[in-house]
Amino acid sequence: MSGHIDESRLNEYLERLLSPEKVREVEEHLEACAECQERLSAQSELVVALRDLPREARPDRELWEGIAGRLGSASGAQRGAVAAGARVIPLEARRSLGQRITLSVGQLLAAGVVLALISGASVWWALGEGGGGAPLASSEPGGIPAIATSDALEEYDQAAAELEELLEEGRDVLAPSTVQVLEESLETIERAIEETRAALARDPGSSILNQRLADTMRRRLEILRQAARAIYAQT
Amino acid sequence: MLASLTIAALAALAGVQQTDTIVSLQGATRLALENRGGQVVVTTWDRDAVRIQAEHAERTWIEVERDGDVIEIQAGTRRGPPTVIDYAITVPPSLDLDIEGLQTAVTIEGVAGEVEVETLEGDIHIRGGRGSIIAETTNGEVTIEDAEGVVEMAAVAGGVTVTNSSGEILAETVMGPITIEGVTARIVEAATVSGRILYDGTIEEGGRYSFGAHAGRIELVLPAGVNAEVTAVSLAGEIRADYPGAPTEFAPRKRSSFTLGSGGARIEAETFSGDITMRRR
Repeated sequence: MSGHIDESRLNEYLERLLSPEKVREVEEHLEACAECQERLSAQSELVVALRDLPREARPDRELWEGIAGRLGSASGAQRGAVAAGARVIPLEARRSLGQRITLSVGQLLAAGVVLALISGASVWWALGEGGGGAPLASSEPGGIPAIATSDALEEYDQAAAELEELLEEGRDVLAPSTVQVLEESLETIERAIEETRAALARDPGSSILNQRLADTMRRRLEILRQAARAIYAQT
Repeated sequence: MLASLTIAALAALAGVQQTDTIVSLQGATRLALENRGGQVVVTTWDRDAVRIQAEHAERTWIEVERDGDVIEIQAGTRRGPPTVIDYAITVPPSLDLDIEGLQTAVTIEGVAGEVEVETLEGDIHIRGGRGSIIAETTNGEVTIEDAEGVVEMAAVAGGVTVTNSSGEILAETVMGPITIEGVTARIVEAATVSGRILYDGTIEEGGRYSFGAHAGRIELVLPAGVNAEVTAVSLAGEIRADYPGAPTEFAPRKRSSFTLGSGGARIEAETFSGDITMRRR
């Protein structure tokens, strides 16, 4: 392998998407390259960054109350798992050389969902409707960072549904053509999610499908966030 | 288009007033403009000043303020929110632009600074731009040409198109097509749910090119002599390659990897149910 390992390949390595041959190449390079070891460590510490993500903020508009209440219902460490009921597991990304990174696709997917949810919840923060409060996600100082498992998928669905409700409540303030675009887009995304989930049910170990599902679900939340911002701007 | 129709309707109902003023740059490097509804057209001239022409309702006025090195333009009104305003702005080419709108169509011609445009409803067209060029619309299309730098564009149902540009290209839609043609780019990331992706550009040594779709088709038109590691997978669609050195058959539902030339760049194409085609230009 010439040069350093690029970001994309490091991600694939962490997500165990590489062929055994490529894994060997990466690990051989890691053994000899301190810089790439550091980058790998930094990347696998993704979840630690949860501590620094936007804090809970409460909107003062009625439109937002239901969603803010539900998204903000978790407290303390539970916020790191998005909502009460989500199982929190320790994540130990082993970084010592020769040890295969043990992040499963499911864990990474869940981490992605957590991040996506935080992005959704950060609408309030982005809108400048307040600040302070407990971190949306946290881990014990010096302790092992926590992420949600795939149970977070259910929480994700709930949060997305809440944002869809917001879109429904606020649709009158948007132009009909924009509402139509948003609704068609969400239907398209929903179909994609359903198709991917169905395929995943037949092939639960597929890393490709897991990644596709996570990507599509993130996209869904992005669109919902866009809609939420648009409604807020209009009101 | 939507904004234009709205303007026509409102102009007929209300008295229309013209604003025309010139503001000296005095060290300003960025122009920030907020427009709730209407059109924004930005062109360039060779003076160190910004000309602001606006057509708006009588009850609305245009506020131009300076905040550090930023010239800020927004509208005030005696009652209610500002309605539709048509802006024609003339700027020195190097001035950075930051334009936000709701029902706002934006056209920018011939600039050479950074550009950031975000609108809810309306098309965005940018010709030029250097450094960071960002364009995002929810209900509209994005077209960018002659840009140099990091080009980020996003739409939902509308398409995004970038032509004759160089640098990094990041494009995203839900349903709209993504067209990337005539570009010289080291990094390309294009993602859509059901739109199709067309890439017709260079493959640079060490470059990274990533294309992802759910139901959309991915079409790669590559120049001769590409050196790249290629990974392609379509879970329910087909992969077809008509390029020297590429396999002629691909196993269904499997990730296929092969090397063109001596490798060097990385090309990844992934779709759930769409097809992937690769051919020589």
